[in-house]
Formats: sequence, structure tokens, C-alpha cells
Amino acid sequence: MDRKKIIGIFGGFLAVMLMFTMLSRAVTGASLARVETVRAKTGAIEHKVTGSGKVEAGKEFAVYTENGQRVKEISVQEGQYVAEGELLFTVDMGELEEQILAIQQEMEKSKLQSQDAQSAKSVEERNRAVAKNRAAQDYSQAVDNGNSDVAKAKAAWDEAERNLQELLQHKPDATGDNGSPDAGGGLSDWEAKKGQLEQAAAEAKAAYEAALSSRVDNIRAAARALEDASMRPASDSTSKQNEITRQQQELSLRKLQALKEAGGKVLAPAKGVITKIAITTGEFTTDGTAMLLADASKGNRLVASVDKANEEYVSKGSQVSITAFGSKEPITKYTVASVAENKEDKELLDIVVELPEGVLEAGVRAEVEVVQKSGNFSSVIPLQALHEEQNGYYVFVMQEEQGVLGKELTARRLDVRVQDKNNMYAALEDGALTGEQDIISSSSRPIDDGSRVRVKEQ
Amino acid sequence: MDIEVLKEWPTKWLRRAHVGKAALWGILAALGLAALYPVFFLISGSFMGKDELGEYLGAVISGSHGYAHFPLLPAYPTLRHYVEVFLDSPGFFVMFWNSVKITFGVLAGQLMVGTMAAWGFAKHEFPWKKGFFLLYLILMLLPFQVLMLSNYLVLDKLSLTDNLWGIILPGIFSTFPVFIMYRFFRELPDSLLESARLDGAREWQLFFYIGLPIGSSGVIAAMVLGFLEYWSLIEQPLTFLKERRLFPLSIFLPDITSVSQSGMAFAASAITFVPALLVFLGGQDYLEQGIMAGAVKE
Repeated sequence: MDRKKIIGIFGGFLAVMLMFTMLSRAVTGASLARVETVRAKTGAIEHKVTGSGKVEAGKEFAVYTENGQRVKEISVQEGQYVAEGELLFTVDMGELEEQILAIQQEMEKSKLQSQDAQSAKSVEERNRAVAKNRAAQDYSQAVDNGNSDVAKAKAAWDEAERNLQELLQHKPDATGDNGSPDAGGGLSDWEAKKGQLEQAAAEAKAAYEAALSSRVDNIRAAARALEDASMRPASDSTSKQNEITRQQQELSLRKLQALKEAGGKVLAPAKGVITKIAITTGEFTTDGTAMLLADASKGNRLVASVDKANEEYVSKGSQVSITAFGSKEPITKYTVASVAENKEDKELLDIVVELPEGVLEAGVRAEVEVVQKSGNFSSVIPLQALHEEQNGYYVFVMQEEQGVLGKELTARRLDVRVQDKNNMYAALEDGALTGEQDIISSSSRPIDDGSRVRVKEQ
Repeated sequence: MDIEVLKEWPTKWLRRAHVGKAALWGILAALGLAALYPVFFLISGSFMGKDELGEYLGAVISGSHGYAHFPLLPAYPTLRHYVEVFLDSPGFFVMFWNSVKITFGVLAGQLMVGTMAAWGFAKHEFPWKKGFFLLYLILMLLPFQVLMLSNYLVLDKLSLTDNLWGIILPGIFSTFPVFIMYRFFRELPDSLLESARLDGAREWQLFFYIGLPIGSSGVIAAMVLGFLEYWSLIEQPLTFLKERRLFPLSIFLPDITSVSQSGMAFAASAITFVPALLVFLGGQDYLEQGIMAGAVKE
């Protein structure tokens, strides 16, 4: 081949290579991720917790009336301010009078019943006294009778014993000393008599013992009868109960009569704001509260709900900024008085801010914002520079590295630990980053460890 | 019978000679093909898709079972790898131009320094000339590895490591082209120079107007050999360069152990092959002369 031609081709080849050198740089440059970088700064992390709530009365008092009254008219509305003595609602007078009459009749009935019971009781008591006297008489009779029976039996026994002793002293001589012919016949008679007397003595002794035992039995029986007769009757509280019922009825009656005297009108006991009306016109009143009034002479409190996830950032004493609904000026000088879990929703926290009189009226809705500032951290980065995966957090740091094309900007992954963060910034553990490192905060395309990057032109 | 046998003899001999020649051709062709196979391999591989390459080379590269095999032609030719090299690899061009810088830097230096040295050895007498020339020969014969450490220490002292000059300067002063050109200049008759001197020519005029034109084939031969050597330089850059931005093309090593990169490696190799091929085609004749000059001993 012609040498000149080959030199020409060689030159052409170099020219083509030069062109593609440019082209490939342009293509690669265009396809590089353009990144924006930030640097870690020192600073604090603010935790902003927001929530909304309602101003509640600091002290509320209830207004109620007698149970079962028909509400004729309600003269106020919720949220209305009322002065002391202002009419709140009226109850139906006809209904009220009927109730008064019914109670009076009831009381009359009770009174009659009570009288009946009293008379029955006195009759019974008399009977009991008579029975007791009789039993006492029976007892002394039994003691007397027993004693005389025993005395008689004893005398009979003594007599029999004496007869026997007498006979034993006059025993005939069995050897016949006196020589009487019928000596043998006298001894056998004596023997027979002795047997009779011995038997009589034994019988008298038995009779005496029987009399003794009979006396004990009779006295015991009489004593028991006496005991029974003198036993106290079962306690009976009917009359006392009747008395109590009567007092209650009297109390109700007095209240109803007072209501009647007032013409069925229920008035505000003190100045305040109506916070709740629990009665309805035309319906009967219940045992519960008819109306709730916020005491206007005391301060109010704001109860706001915030997400429980923010629990650690809200505490008693935290400064709070309150913006009432419809108002633009926030109120900032108050602090959180208490924090408690919401009773209905466990995911919420209720924070309470005590407000002095005149700051916000009860019933006003308001937004609250609690800002808690952490201590100073040495490396704080914007949240968008922080990446998260299962094992933890990492950031991409832009480094200058020597590559084929000379100094190249490369994204390098750096695992970090997060100490604290909010929705804008994250504070990293010391030592992970220096203030001179460029941290990639945004990228035009996804990057990885080792990706080449370009700094986005401003 | 005898006559017929005699008649058949020459044709038999001829036929045998013909068969023998064909067999020889066959063997040579087979050997030639075997020698050329890597080139085919390279060219067709650069046009193959990733999947195809993975299938053929999987056994070697990604450790699947069996043997690697390679067809002559790609089943689904694609220019994808060339596009990748040309458009997506600015690094390739950095290395390409590094190679160009090294090669042409060395050749230009040799053209200036080597020719004069060769002229001096060939046409001038000075003390210790034989000794110096022997030293040159010895230096030429020493493999790179022998001098690697001492070269490194010298370059380090001169702060030339991690610098293309660290490759170019030793190349400029290499002894091999001097030796080649020396042989060409030697062939120049001394009488010619004598007569020129008598006609009042200065020494530099002798060199530029007589020596160089007549010895040009030697110079070109040295340049062609030098180009092929420096275009495919591996040891020096690997030893003396650390920064990737200075690497020449010969050590452009996309990770060829992965299938995804092997196609690109093939394409890059094919492109690298082009200048060497062009230089070879242009300087073929001189190359032969140069090699012959190197082979003939004094």
C-alpha cells in the first residue's frame, strides 16, 4: 500500500479518536449525576410538636334541678355568657304541682301505716307481760311443791329406818336363855318382820330419791318457761324506716315547693359561660346535670391533643405557642402544665396549658406548638442528605479521587449514627464527619458508593 | 510391462510431488490459521453481544462447567461494545492519548538522539569506542526486569515516577535503535564522506545531507520497530506509574474476568490494534530490513 495513503489513514484515525475523545467526555459528563452538597454544621435540633385543641373552663359548676321535671323552656345557648341570677330554663308548673300533691298523699299514707303499726305493737307488749308473770308464778309453785314432796319422802324414809333399828335392837336369843318354849317360834317371826321393815326402808329411800329428781325436773321446766316468757322480742325497725322515708319525702317536697315558689324558674347561681346543656325542651329532666357553666371568675385551660410519637419532646414546663382559631397573633408566654395520655385514643397525648382569666374564652379552638431545643450538636446536616436502610443511616460524601480522567469527584458512602433529628435536620454522632467534608444533599439521579458525580452549577 | 512402468514413473513422481506440496500447504495453512485465530477471535468477539460472550466464555470467566469455545462469526453481531468504548468510556481515550504521547515522544527523541549516536558510532573514531559500543550492546541485551529496580531508583531520585517522562526519557535513550541505525550508517562508504569533506562540507552537513537521506531506511526501520515496541509497552508503565490517569492503552484493563466487561475489552483491543496494523503496513519493507540488520553480526 502507498505509504502516503497509510500516513493519511493514520492521521485520519487520530482525528477520529480526537473527536470521540471529546464526544465521550461530553456524553459521560451529561450522564453524570449532578449533586448539591452541604457541610455539617454545629447547631441544635428543634423539635416542633403541633396539635390542636379547645379551651376548657378552668372550673366548671353544674346546674341541676329535681329529677323528672318537664322542661318547658330553655332560655340560654351553649357558649353564652350569663350573669348571676339570670334565667336558665323553666319547668312545667302543672307537672310540678301534680308531683307535689303526689308526695303529700304518699306522706299521709305513710303516717297512717305508722300509726297502725304502733297500736299493734302495744297490744303485743301487754300480752307478753302477762305471760311472763304467769311463768314466774309457775316457777315459785314448782319450787314449793318440790320442796314439800322431798320433805315428806324424807320423813317417811326416816320413819322406816327408825322402825328397822328398833327391831334390830330387840332381836330374840337364839340359844334359849330365857327358856321360853316358843323361843324358836319368836326368832322366825322376828326374821320375817325384819325383812318387811328392810323392804319398807328401801322403798322409802327410793321414794325420797324419786322426789328429789322430780323436784329438779319440775323446777327446770318452770325456769325454762319463765325464761321463754321474759325473752326480748325481735327488733323491729319499721317505724324508724318510716320515719326516714318521711324525712326524704319532706325534703323532696320542700325542694319542689321551693321550685314552685320560684315559679318553676331555674337561675344561674353565679356568672359564667354555658359550656354544656344536657336538657331538651319538652323532655323530662334526669338525675344528672342539667347545665354546665364555666366559672368566669377563674382562668381557663387549653387542652390540646398531639401525636404520641412526640412524647419525648413535650413535657411539663415546655414553652408553648398558642394560636387561636381565626387569630394570627400567637400567644407565647405560657407553658405546658401537664401531659397525659388521651383517654379515648391511646395514640394521642393531651397537653394542658393553664390560661389566666381573660386570655381565651372557654370553647375557643386553638392550635398549639411546642418547640423543644436540644443541646448543641457538632455535626448537623439537612435531613435530605441522610439516607436510611435496614441496618442504619448513611450519607454520601463527595471526595476527590484520582481516576483515569485525573481528579474525579466520587460519591463515597459513610455509615453514620444519628443522635437526634427532626423533620428538617439530623444530628450525627461526633467524629463521623468533619466540617470540611462535602455531603451530598441532592442528586439528579440515584447514586451509589463510588458513583462519579458533578457538582450542580448554581 | 517394463515400458508401461517406465512411462508411469515420471507422472507418479510428479503426482507425488504435487501431493507433498499440497500437504505442506495444508500444514502451513493450518499453522497459519492457528496463529491468526486469536485475531479472528478478537475481531468477532468485539461484535458479539453480552449473552453470546457469556455463553462462549462462561467456562473460563464465570466458572461455569465445560470448556470455552469460540465460533468464527458472531451469531448476532452488534456494535454495542464499540459504542460503549467510543461514547461511554472517556477513560479509554485518556489512555489512548497517553499511549500516543509515550510512543511519539520516544520516537521523536530517538530520532534526535539515537540517529546522532548511531552516526557517531558508525562514522567517527574516538577513544574507547569499542568499549562503549560493547556497553551499548550489553544494555540492549539486558531484559527490563534486570534493570527494573535500578531504573526505578534513578527515576525516583529524579522525581520522574508517576510521570510520563519517566517512560519517555529511558525510551529515548534506549540502545536498540542506535544499534539498528548504526548498521545502516556503517554501509555508507567512507570515501563519499571524504569527498564531501574535501568539497568543504561541515560535519553536521554530512549528517543531515548525506547520512540521514541515505540511512533513512534504517531510521524508519528503527522507528517502526520502536513504534511496535512502545505502543504495546507493559512493564514500564506498570512499574513506574501509579496514577490511573497516566496509564497507556496497553494496560487498559477493563475487568475482563467478568462477562459484562469482556465485550468492551475485545472492542478496545481491536481499536488498539489499528495503529499498530497501519504502522506495520506502512513500514513493512523497512521492518524486514531493520530486523535483518539486527541479525547480521559484524
